[in-house]
Amino acid sequence: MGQNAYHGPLEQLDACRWRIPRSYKPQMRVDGIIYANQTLIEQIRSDQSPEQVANVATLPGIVGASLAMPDIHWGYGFSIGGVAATDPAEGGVISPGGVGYDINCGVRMIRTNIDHADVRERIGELIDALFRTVPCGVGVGGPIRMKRGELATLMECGAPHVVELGFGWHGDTEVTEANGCLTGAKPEYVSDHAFNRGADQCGSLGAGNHFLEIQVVDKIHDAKAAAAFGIALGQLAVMIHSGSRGLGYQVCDDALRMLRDVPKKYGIELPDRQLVCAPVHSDEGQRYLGGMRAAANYAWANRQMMTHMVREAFAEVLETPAEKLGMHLVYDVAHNIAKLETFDVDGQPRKLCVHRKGATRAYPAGHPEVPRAYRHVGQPVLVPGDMARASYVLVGQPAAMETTFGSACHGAGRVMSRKAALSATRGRRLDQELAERGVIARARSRAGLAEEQPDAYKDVSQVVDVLHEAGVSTRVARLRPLAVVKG
Amino acid sequence: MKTGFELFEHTADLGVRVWAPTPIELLRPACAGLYACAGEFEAQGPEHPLALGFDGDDPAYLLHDYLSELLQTLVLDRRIAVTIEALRFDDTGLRARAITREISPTASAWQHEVKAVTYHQLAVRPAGNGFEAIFIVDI
Repeated sequence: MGQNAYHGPLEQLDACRWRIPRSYKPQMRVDGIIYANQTLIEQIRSDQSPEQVANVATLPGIVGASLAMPDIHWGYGFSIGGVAATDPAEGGVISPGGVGYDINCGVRMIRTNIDHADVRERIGELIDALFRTVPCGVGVGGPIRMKRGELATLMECGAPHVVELGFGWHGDTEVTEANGCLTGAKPEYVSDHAFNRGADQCGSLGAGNHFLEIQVVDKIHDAKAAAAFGIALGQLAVMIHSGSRGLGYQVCDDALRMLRDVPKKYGIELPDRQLVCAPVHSDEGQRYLGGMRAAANYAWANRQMMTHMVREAFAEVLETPAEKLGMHLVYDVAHNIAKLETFDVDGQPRKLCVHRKGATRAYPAGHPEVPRAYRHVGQPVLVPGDMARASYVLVGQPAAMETTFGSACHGAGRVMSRKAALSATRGRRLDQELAERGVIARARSRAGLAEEQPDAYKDVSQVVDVLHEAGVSTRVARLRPLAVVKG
Repeated sequence: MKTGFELFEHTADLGVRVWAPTPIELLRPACAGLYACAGEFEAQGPEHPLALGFDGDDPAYLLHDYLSELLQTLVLDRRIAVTIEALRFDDTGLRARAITREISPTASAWQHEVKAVTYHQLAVRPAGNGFEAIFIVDI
């Protein structure tokens, strides 16, 4: 165990869940619950993420438990992979730390009617076209620079607005969480700095762990759900992972500054500065929510614009219109967000403020917010893995509503620091190693690729196994990476 | 005690530890540490003055605001501070004057998109016979 290891209590509840009892810290209002198997829990213990789960349990108005998904790792304030629901009617708070800097970072998946076997030799051309077409890399902007008024409209209206501008198809927003637009966005609460940071970045991938990936469906686990989602064996798909770019980072930073003295004002004691918060119903809470929703809508617009570029790139290379290639959006999920959602608590429906920091919504069949076309099976849950092994499509299950506030994991979860990942690849050519494993990698920087190397992540198959076994969200399909663009 | 900084590991992000004989002497290496998280930069073109001033009684928050301003200048204006004159850093406020210049796009290399300077583990405190500052940036 390293010097950052967690040494507090972790009690095994069953094969998939571990408890940090409320008695661990006097300020804890609820237990902490971590979803993990025996292998994953050993990794989880190696950093301070369980401590962060315990810290989140001290937030006023928290309901049920402070939760963590199996891809949990050490974050700031909240752990990455953390879920917390607070009850505004009971003084529940909203914490920007429970959303993160990259507000509405999320994933979307575009399916195609292209069989991998038919384009096996053209994957290189396709990824090169994506690398050329979709702006990526540190600080690289998108295709247009928006004026303040245009940006404000985009923040109010989200993905539907850019579809109206021609960046997408009308069906796209029907299969986007919240239809790609949260109501109650307040661009007027977004600072000039944030406007400036976002002015030219909509329609750009970014850097770090953001990616574009061409994948092939290599296993179907649930034929009924896969058919509903339009997913078939051997089919090519594209996954996009990005968020709200500099605009969102600035909205979060501004909010943390605005909220610095607010806990004291409301008599809230916190174990970590990064957990600053305000009651949801307070002026400060509403101010953050308005700005956060504006940034979330920007993120949906961002991913929507990139979807358009992906379609254009495929159409150009394959000399076939994207419509004929069947490039429909399967779904788009947010995994850094706070939303007001209704759950049964002690038999009563309560509107809760659900924070998902590196966690994905996972609603089951029948839920009114699941797109009509999928309502008989449930909401797709998109879980990207590392760039060599696999990604998954899961589907939300009723147990998620009962145990995780309708939430599931968001990815594989980092297990190696950036510095360690870089050291581990010194003297190696990661792009060549990936090529030997059948994955073409394109990246703006070799170091960036090294930091995102497959070994830096947990095995996503283990992560999804835990939630499958727990009945929170179940496997629908596995996808194998063929080619990846890293910023 | 000399002044300096080092990067340390944090699972998904990067941490910076800065040391100096006095708090005010932390400011320059803290800026260098921040830049080291983002990449390697060479400056070009004319000089632009940048006044950095923040009031408050918590040195950690003051350091955060100072670094955030420098980050803004880096990511928005594409300028780096080539000299920093630290004037005051105590429990009443922070004052510094910087000379900034544009980043040379050809001679510089961005390595990370630094989203923000976080509050996680943020600290300014006595250490040994001097002082240290800790901050973690979100990548």
